[in-house]
Amino acid sequence: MTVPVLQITGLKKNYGLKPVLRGIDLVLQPGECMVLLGANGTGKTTLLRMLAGLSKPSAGRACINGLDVVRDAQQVRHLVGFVAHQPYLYEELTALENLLFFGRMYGVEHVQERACELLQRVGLERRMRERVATLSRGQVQRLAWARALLHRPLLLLLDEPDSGLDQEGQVLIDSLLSEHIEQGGSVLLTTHQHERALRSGNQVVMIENGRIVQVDKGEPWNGHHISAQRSVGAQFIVPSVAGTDTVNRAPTSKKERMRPFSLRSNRRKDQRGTMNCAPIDVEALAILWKDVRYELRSKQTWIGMGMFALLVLVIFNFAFDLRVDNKAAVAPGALWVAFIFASLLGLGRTLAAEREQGPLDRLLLCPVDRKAIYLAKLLGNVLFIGVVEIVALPIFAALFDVPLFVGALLPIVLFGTLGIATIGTLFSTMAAATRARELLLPVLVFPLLVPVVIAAVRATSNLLAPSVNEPPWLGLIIAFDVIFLSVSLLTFEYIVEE
Amino acid sequence: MALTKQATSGKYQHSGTSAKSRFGLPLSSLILGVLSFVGMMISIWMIFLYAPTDAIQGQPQRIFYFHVPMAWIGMLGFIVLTIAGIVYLCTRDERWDWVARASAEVGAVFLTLALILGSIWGKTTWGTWWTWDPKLTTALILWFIYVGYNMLRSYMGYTESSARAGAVFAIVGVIDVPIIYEATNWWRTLHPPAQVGVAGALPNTVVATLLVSLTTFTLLYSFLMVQLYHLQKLQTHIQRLREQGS
Repeated sequence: MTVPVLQITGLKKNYGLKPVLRGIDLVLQPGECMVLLGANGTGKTTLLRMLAGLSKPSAGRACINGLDVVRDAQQVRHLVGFVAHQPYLYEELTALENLLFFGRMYGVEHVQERACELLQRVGLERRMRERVATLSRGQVQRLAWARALLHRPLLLLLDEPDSGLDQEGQVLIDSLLSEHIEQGGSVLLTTHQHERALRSGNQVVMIENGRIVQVDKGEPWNGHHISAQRSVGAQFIVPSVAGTDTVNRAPTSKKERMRPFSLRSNRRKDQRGTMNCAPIDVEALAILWKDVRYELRSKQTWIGMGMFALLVLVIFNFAFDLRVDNKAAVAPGALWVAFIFASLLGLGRTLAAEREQGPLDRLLLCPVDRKAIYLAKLLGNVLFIGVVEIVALPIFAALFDVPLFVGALLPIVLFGTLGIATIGTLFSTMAAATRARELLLPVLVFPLLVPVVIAAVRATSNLLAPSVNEPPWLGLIIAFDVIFLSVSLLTFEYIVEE
Repeated sequence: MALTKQATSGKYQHSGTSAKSRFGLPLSSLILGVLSFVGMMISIWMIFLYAPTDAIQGQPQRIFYFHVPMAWIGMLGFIVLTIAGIVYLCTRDERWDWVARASAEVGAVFLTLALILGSIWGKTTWGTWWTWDPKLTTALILWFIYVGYNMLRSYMGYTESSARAGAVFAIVGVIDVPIIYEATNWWRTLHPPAQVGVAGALPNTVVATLLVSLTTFTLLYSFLMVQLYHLQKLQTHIQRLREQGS
């Protein structure tokens, strides 16, 4: 029995009371290309987003290679490549860096070779070390194609994939599509263009008002549709089918359903032959690496945070009449207020790269553990705040004429910063979904930071004027960090889910 | 007429099946409302006529009978909000989100009143409107958390992501509630510790008045919760009908 690559049964999606999809039934077999044709707002993109795991159906079921897109979302992400009409790439990273990053997210082995191979295939080998921001719209779209093919997906979901492409680019796409299908892969494509639909699909499905109104079943795929344009990149190593039986025979177990699409797949496999995600620390470090590189290029956060901390210290130093007897009480307060205010600036930009260019959805499409995203963002925030603190501390010591006690101060600053970043990262992700996030973030973060602020200020004050009966402030900060880190790791997934 | 959701069609319609009293309220709401009103009358009588006047603090001590129940509702409201949030995350049943929103609004109002009354009481007994006492500080933090919660929900609208974010925020924020309760035991505070249940700490008349007041305010909280729950439900439906029309 043949297992369809895609089987959709009674799929519905409502936004509130508004039905966007009113019951879709579709079957896509291996080696087929189905085109969804319809006007804007008919639900084509919504359908693709649900299949990609970015959105959950209101009713009905969709399975990819026998795996439920909701229940087995993480495994399904390995099987799907997605090209939207927006490229969703990191503009401050180079073309190669973007592919390396997403390759790590998918656990692609020999990712460097695979990325170079694809860049060559889409004609970007000469521009691979240039930032995406400097590429033309068509080149960016080609790069988006390369990223979609990176992990050799079984099913390509293409949402108006040729938008912004010139004639040569469209020929390239036809060629890539042809190769993908000839190797047993399948394609679900949306378009407004009748010509594109007739040229690409061996099934054309008309969608109107969330319903299928017409299905035009053409001939089985035989390559005639676009074979004439296969002029680009004869050296392209396309995924080969893992024996026709892998995709045409009903899998007997979930493990078998997860068997990689290609025998020559570069995807990491374990001894049982199932696909693996990268370990959480590897994923987290890859995201952190991306964020740090992005910040080093854009310089949007560190300089602003540093200047803000400096200004707060100067203003406090100017405003207070510092004497020997009140210095130990005032100076630590000024220091931590400076750290927290500066941190808030940085925390507000936790998801800046994702929010501004929209690749958060693209990141969520990867089979990456959501905890890894949180950890990476947390570590990034600790790093950014830490750099600002390293700069601000000597200035603080000079302005307030206090010794630094570096050895004793270090753990207070480290764990205090971790506390600020732990809550801040969680809440900045929450606030990112709102329009007035700059206003909301301090309101959410400050009340919960009070214990850390009190403990950090008192611990720092105790260094300047030691007192015998002080509670274990550092221990309190560490307890705060542990509790809130645990809660954040447990709940982060709920926040990033659509 | 109540709005009910038909699970299969996703359509909303007037069901007209709820038992209504002649006053236009559902029977359960009417019973809670009547009990709250009667309880409030009894509480006011007990607070001003039955309970003895404090020998040291005089008449301002009677604030105690309002301040304590309101602070209790402030904490209870957040616990209910958190439990509703957790159940929502597990079941994705939006009725629990309506419970959470309702509890957040009622709890925030009661905690605000508790802080204001506490401040007035503090001025008469301690000579200051405010002091950074641990109990006061942690209660103020809870008030800010309530405000943050209501702002978050307001900014995010009636969406699933708003409900999830609210639930997570409540789970993080609820950590403050036991700290408020234990503040007088963990730290040396100006604020008096809990004295109900401590033998000989309070006269029986004071304890009886406080218990009646606590019960009454809890009934009032329940009554307001039911009303706000239905309001949340209606607001959600109205927003969806607007979206459907647009």
